[in-house]
Amino acid sequence: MPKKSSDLILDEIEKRNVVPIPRWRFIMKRSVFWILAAISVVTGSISMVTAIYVFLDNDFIVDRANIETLFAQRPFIEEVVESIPYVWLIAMFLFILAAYYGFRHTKKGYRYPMLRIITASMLVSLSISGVLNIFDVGKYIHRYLIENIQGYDHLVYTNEIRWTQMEKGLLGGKVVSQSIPEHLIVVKDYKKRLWTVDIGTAEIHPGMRIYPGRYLKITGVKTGPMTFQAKSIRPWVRRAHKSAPAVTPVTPVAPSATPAVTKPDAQNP
Amino acid sequence: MAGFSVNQDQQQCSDQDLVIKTLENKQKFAAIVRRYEAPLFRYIVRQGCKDNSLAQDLLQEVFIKAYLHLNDYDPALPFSSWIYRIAHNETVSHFRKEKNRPCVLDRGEDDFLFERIVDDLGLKEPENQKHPTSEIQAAVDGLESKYRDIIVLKFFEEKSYEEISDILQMPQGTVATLINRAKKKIKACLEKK
Repeated sequence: MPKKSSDLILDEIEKRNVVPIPRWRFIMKRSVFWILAAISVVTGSISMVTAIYVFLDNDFIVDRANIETLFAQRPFIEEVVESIPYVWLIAMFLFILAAYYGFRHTKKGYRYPMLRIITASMLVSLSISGVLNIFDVGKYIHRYLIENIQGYDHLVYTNEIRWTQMEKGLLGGKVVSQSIPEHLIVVKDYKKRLWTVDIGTAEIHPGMRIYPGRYLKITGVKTGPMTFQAKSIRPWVRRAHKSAPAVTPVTPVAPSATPAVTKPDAQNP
Repeated sequence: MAGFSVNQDQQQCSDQDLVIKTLENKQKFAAIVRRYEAPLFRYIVRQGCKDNSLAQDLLQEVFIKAYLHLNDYDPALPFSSWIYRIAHNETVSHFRKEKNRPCVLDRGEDDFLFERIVDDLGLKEPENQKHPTSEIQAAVDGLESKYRDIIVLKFFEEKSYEEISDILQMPQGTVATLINRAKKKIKACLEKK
C-alpha cells in the first residue's frame, strides 16, 4: 500500500467537499419501505378476503343441494377448478412479494429468511382478512367490481356469471323495485339489465323477505326479451343484510296476466 | 492533508464514539480512516483487485461513501461490518462494470490462511502428502463468486457468521449454507487431485 494513502483519502474528502447526507433522508427512505410492506400486507389481505368471498360464494358450497341441475351439465371438479378466483390469488401473491421486497429493504430485514418473511406476511394478511371478512369487505369489493368495472367478469368465474343464464332458467341479481299487488319485482342482473320477474307462483325460501336492495337467486323460465317467470326464489347469501329496510313479506299468489313494473326503486339505484 | 488529525485519545475510542464525534467534527474521520485503511485495503485485494493503484482508488471511494452515508450507520451493528459492506459493494460493483473478476487470492503472505481452509475441511494429511497451496488456491479460485466472497470473509478476514450476515446482507442460515457448500466444493476439487 502506498505511503500516506490515508492522507490522500482525507484530502480527497476535503477537495470534493463531501458532507454527510442528513439523517432524515435515511429515515425517510427506510419509512418508504416500511410503508410499502405495510400497504402490501393490507392490500394482500383485501385480495385474500375477496378471493375467499368469491370462492365461498359458489353454489357448490352454499347451495349444493339446490344446484344439482347445473352440476348435471358440468363435472364437479371442472366447476371447482373454474371457480377458483385466480386473479385474486395472483394479486395476493404479488402483494405478498411486494411486502417481502419492502421488508427486505428495511434496516434489519436482510437478517430474516425469505420463507419466514413470506409466511409472516401471509399470516398477517390472513388475520387482517379474517377481520375484513366479518364486515363483508370481500363481498362489497367483488360486487362493486362486477357491477362497475368492465372486463372484471372475464377474470373470475363467479356465481354472478352462473346466475346470468336466463335461457337455462337461472336469474340472479338485485331487486330494484317491487309491486306487491301485482306480484312483480324488477331485478337488475350483474350486467345492469332490468328483468321484470313474476313471482306470483314462485316457491319462496322459508322465512325470506323480498325487498329492494336484496340480492336473489331465481330459477324459472324466460318468458320474453326481459321478462321472467319465477319458480323458486332464494336469497343470494345466507347472511341477512344488516342495513336492509323492513318491508312486508311477499307470498306466492296466482300469476298476473300482464307483467308490468309500477314502482321503480329510487332508494336503491 | 488539510483539516484532519488523529490524536492518541481518538485511537482508543470505540468505532461508535468515533462516528458520533465525526458527525460533530469531520476532522475526527481521520481516526476511522487510519483504523480501517489497512484491513479494507487487504480485503479489496483479496476480493480480486490485484492492481495496487486500483485498490487504492477503490479504498478512497469506500471511505468517501462511508463518510457520505455516516448518518445511515446503525450503532446497534458493528461498525466494521458496516464499512466492510461498503467495501464489498464497491468492489463488486467495480468488477460488475468491468465485466471481469480476476482470481481472488494471492499466495505469499496468505499461505497460512489457505492451510486454515484445509484444516477446517478435515483434510489434514501427513507432511509429505499435504496439498500444495497452489492446489488450494486453484480450488478457491474455481468457486463461483458468491462462494469465494464468503470463503474470503470466513477464512481470510476471520469474520463470524453474524458479521458475514451483516456484510453480505443475508440471513445467517444462508451464510452457513453457502459456507458448507463452498467447503464441499473445495473438498471435492482437492480430492480429485
